[in-house]
Formats: sequence, C-alpha cells, structure tokens
Amino acid sequence: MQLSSSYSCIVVAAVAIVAAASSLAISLLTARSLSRRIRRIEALASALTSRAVRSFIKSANAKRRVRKRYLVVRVVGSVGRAELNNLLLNAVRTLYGSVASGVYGVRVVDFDQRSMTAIVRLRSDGRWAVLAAVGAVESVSKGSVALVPLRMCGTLRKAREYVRRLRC
Amino acid sequence: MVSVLRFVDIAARSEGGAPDAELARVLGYEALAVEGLKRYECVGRVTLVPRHTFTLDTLSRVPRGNVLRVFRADSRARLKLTNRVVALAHAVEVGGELLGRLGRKDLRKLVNTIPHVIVRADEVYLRLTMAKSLEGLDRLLRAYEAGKIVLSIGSGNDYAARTGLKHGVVLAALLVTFGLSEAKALASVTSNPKELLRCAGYAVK
Repeated sequence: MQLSSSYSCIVVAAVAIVAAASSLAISLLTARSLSRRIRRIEALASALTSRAVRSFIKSANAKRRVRKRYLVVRVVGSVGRAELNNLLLNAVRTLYGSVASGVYGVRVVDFDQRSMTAIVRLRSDGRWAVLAAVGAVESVSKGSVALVPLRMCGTLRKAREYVRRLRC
Repeated sequence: MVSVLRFVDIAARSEGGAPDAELARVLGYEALAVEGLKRYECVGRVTLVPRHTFTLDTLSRVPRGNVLRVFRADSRARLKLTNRVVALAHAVEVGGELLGRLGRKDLRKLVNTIPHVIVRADEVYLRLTMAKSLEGLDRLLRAYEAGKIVLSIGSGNDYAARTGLKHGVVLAALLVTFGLSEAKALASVTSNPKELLRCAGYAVK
C-alpha cells in the first residue's frame, strides 16, 4: 500500500513537473513570438515615415475626382467677355505655359456688364494657379484691366446667386 | 474674395497721397505699410503705417522713431548686412537680381542677422512675364518652409494701377504655386507682416 502511494506521489510530482515545464516552454515561445510581433510592428512604424504618409496622401488626392470651381471676379477697366477670356488665358499661359492653360480649363462663363463681375470656370486642382494668374492679368494687359477675386463657389448656380446679390 | 483672414500689405506704395483705404478695406486689408507716408494714420478700419526703405547709399538718412525701416538689397554686392544696418533695419527686402540668384552664404547671412525677409509680388510677376530666373526666391521659400527665416509678401505697386493693391489670397496663391505650403503662404500675408509691424512699434489687432 505504502509503495503504491509513494509511487502515485512520484507520478503526480512528475506530471506536475512536466506540466510546469511545458507551460514555461509555451510562455517562453509566446513571449518570443510576441516580441517578434512587436519588432515587426516597430519596423512597420519606422517605415511609415512622414514621407510615406505624404506620398500616400498625394496618391489618394490623385485618385480623387477633379471637380469644377467657379471664381467670381470683379473687373476693373473696360473690357468685353471675349477679351477677358483671352487676357485670363494669356496670364495663365505666361505664368505656367500652354499645357497648363489647356489643362486648367479656364473659361469665362458669365460676364455681367452692369456690375462688372465675371464668373470664371476652372478645375479645382488649378485653383491656386488661376488665382495667381488673376494677379498677373494687370501686368499682361499693361495696366488697362485688373481683376479682383471675390468668391470661389462649387457650383455655377451659387456663383450666379452671389452675383445677383451683389447687383442688389 | 470674402475671407475671415485680415491681411496686411507690407509693401504698399503711394505716389502722391495716401493709398485708397476704402479699396484696401474691400480687399480685406487691415493694415498697410506705406512707403513715403509721413506719419501713422487710421482711415476707416485700415491702419496706415509709415515705411522707409533704405540702401547702403542712404544709410545716413534713415529716420528714427516708429517707422518700419526696411533695408533693400537688389544684388549680391548690395547685400552687406553691417552692424549699422542690423541695428537700424526691421527687415530686408530682397529684390532685383537677388530673386534670380541668391547664394547659400547670402541666405546664411540673412538667417543669422535679420531673419525677416520681404518680397514684392510685382517684382516676381515682372520676372515671370520676362521669363527670368527665380532661383533666389525658390531658395528663400525653402528656407521659410524649414523655419529658418520669416517671409512676408507685399503687393508693391504695379504700373500705378487702378487697383494698386493685390488681394491677399492672390499673393498667397503666388507662393503656393512655387511649392510653399498653404498655411505658410497665408501666414506670409497675415501673421508675419503683423509681427513685423509690432517690431516697428505698431500693434495691429
């Protein structure tokens, strides 16, 4: 009886030792895999530098649909619609070249002689360039015409409403 | 352009009388630093601040008191920032040939002595229409983007024109098309010139 009980004790102890060892091994393994994962995440984070983020944003912007914008400008000086269109195109061409003048799609949509305001259609990606070109109209026309930007609208309807409000 | 931003034109000129303050208000300007103005004026809601531009030749005739004193350099040879100039000038106006070619050492000089730099838009437009180089401006903009200098842009006066002034957004757009970030470009027509006026003794709200 005593022998059998001591034998069982030894068996239980052995099982406990095996269990402890296996759990230790498992925990060691999991710790190693965890540290590996952490290292991988750290490597990913270091790869995601500001340059990568910037290029991601750039590519995301490139995929975005290019919308139209409508720029309401006040015209200072005597000029007709066709002439104003030519002046604007010349200003864009002078600053950014022939390709840009075609790509930005600059066109005078509406011209109100009474309030001397014009609505210019352009592509949204060229809004800064066209705004800079608006400043150059004065030097392109040798001081005879100057344009003052009033408002940038998303739709032609809103731009026309704004011009109507200006007239009142 | 209807904007919540209040602009400051740091390089306005008046040829015979004060500039049109009403026009400035419509364009969204709250302060103009006017070349040739005798004393501080407040017309409507627009503050007109006297500005004096001097070069190496006119160092002895620089006025004291609350005047915005700007040292103008239009070539590399004229960019001599002596102790006298540094003591007098609030800012350096870079123009002429320097917009075309500004050396690395010239830029270092600016960074280490007078980091406030003014550029006139009419000169930039003129060089653009004449297809001249603007490498110097590009170098200035890169230094501004890196935070080494503080850049302000003013309209200048083009052809004694009907408007004379250019809209603040147009000036900012000009810098944006040269590759400057939008925030920095807008700061160069709003907060930077305001800071410069504060240096000259005028607190614009």
